Amino acid sequence: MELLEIKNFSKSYGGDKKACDDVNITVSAGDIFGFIGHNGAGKSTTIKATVGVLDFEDGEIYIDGHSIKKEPIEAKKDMAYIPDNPDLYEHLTGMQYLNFIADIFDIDDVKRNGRIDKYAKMFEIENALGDLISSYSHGMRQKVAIISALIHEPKLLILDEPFVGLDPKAALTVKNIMHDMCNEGKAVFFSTHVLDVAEKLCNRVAIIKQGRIVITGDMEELLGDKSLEDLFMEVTEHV
Amino acid sequence: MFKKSAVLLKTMIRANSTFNILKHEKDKKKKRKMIGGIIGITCIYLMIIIYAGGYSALCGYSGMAYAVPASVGVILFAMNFFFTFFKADGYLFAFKDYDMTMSLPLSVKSIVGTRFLRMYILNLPYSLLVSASMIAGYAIYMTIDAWRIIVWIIGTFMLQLFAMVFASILSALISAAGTKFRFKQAAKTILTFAFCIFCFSLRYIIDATVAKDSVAVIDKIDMFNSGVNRYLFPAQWFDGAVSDYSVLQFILLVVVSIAFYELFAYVLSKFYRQINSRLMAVSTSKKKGKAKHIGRKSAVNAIAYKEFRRLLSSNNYLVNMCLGHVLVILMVAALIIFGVDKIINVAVEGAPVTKEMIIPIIPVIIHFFVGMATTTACSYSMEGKSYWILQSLPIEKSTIVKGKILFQLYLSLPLEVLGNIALSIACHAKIYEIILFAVCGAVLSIYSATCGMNCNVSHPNFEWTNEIEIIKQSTAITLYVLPNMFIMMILGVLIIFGGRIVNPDIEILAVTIIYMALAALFYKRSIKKAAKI
Ligand SMILES: Nc1ncnc2c1ncn2[C@@H]1O[C@H](COP(=O)(O)OP(=O)(O)OP(=O)(O)O)[C@@H](O)[C@H]1O
Ligand SMILES: [Mg+2]
Repeated sequence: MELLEIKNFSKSYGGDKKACDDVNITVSAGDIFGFIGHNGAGKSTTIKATVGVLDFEDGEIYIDGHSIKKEPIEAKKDMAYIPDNPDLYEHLTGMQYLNFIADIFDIDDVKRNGRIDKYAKMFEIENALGDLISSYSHGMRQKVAIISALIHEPKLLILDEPFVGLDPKAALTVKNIMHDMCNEGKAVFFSTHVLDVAEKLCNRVAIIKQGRIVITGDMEELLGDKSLEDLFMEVTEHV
Repeated sequence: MFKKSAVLLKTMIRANSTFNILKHEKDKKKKRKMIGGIIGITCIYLMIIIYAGGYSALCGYSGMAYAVPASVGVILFAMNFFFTFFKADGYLFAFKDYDMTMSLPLSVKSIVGTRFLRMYILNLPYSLLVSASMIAGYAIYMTIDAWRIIVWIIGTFMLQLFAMVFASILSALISAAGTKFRFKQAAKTILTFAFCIFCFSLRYIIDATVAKDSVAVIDKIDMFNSGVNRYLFPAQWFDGAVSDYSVLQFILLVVVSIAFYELFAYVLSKFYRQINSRLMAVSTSKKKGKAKHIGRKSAVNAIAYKEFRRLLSSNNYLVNMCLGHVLVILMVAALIIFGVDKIINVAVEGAPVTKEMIIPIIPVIIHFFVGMATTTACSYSMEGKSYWILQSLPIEKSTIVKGKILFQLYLSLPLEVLGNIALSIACHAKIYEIILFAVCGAVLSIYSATCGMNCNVSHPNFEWTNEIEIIKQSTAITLYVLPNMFIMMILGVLIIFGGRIVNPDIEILAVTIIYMALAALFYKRSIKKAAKI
């Protein structure tokens, strides 16, 4: 079952150069999908279009069968997104922010409180949730963003550079959550620069260069006995 | 050093100017929208020209051209004072790029200087417009020579400088005092409101104390030489320099204004780091423990609640949006304490106005204050860099619009209805009039909320670094505030004069129906336009 299908997606920001050019990606249930590329390769552009933040003309994107263009509400219900640098509502406390998101997803009191408590404990920020987000450090904000993404138990989790700024323990927690999700038949799609993490964590991968996907497929098949770093250097240097 | 500051200033202005975006923006649709905004602002400039030029021509026409220079002084002072007072705090302190700016190899004084100059340049077009329009009206009745023109031009710059320094000092003092409290925002807001109310009543305080015995002497019509204005020395000097060709007064104006600025920049730079560090420290709860859970809300109410927290979080936002509310509450309180006759007497300074004359324009008076600003005219743009949250959530854009409008209604509708009821009861209006005015007030407040939202979604701006740009300077807020203010004033006059031909109650009924239709129109348009953002 395909949870995410990006078909012939292209995007230009107004100039002649395309930020993304004919991108095709498929993420199935149970996948942890790594999205790799240089700075400015088009990762964030693809992700923003996928989650409905960025407008686009060319191509189609489906989340669990719903087109993000034509049925955005249905598509977004099954998904959660965390940007690379989450600007949250600074004037809310962590708890108020999480409840705001839960209100939008219409989650009942028992469920939301249970989940907030569970994840806050996992990420060790129970004691900070009563404070304003403007008093949080970068990593604390990221943790709140992650919890807010998990609060409605999405089928598809989309993350842009999730490991930047997290402490080692929190990074491990995120990895464990990703594993749990894929065991439950959900899927995770994330961009990263940390090739070691991608190699160990992901079962599928796509490498993007100057807006074009240069290679995509099963991690094990693609790698053979090379490392992901070797593969990355090979395809981005010579293609 | 000077060169470096100039570069910083240039970058700061460029980073926020429409023209820079216009030059580099490739998206045609966005460009067209911006040009639309520029046309809107030009219309407002035209209105200022007509208003200011007309005022001074009218003075000349009624044989009072001699009073024009003093009026220019007072108007420029008042205008720049209020423009600055409500935003200085946002420009001078705890701005977003503070960390970046302070890490540059510049002296604190030149950083303060560039921040100040930034505000100065933003206010300048308005000052120059008013001043130029007024000299045009003045020139019809008075001889204009080289001296007068030079004094007029330099004087405009100096009057603006003086007023802005004065406002900045007060704002800085309030900010500094605010840091002493645990709830800094609340303390700052209360101090700001207290000061505004003091300003509004200053005239009456002076009239009641200092000027008591001289009241008879002062010509009441010549209001620019009476009351508070007699103590506004820069305006007096400007008047002296223009009317009496006084070189001494001209030099006084220039020297005092510049010295005043230098002193301000010097003193503030000594405490700048300290004030900012304290302001930027967000207080966290003392007792560490688990935060309490919050009950469930509908999506629209969740957004309204979020808007409520946003309003409370910022002194600038709160003061700019709720000043009218506070004034109405005070007015109602004064009505209860002093009675309506006394209030009218004080407000119009003994002119022959009775409460019967006030009755037909009660909804207009209340709305003039409550509708002075609306959160909806900026709350969409206020999402700023956090807009991705709403974009990636499974909600319709119309839900966002509804939530934001709903919050504005929570904020102003009850007050506007109660204000109308209180004032009509105090003026002994008839029962059906009280009901009519209450309904009219409700409709006007719905109109304001939807009209503001329409302005905002027509000119959304998420690329800001300082919220003040959205609250005070954005195209959206300008397009909402100025036209509506003028329309309310004109409407008041029309109702009074029209009342000689038709029954005033029918006029109010007509106003209610027209504004209801407008509200429905703006609501529909807002929802349609928001869908595309
Ligand atoms: N708002 C924008 N306006 C114009 N061009 C943009 C905009 N955002 C990104 N671009 C351009 O699109 C291209 C792809 O950028 P994108 O942010 O998708 O890269 P990325 O792969 O996420 O890079 P990084 O690893 O640095 O985050 C770049 O060439 C960039 O210059
Ligand atoms: Mg990126």
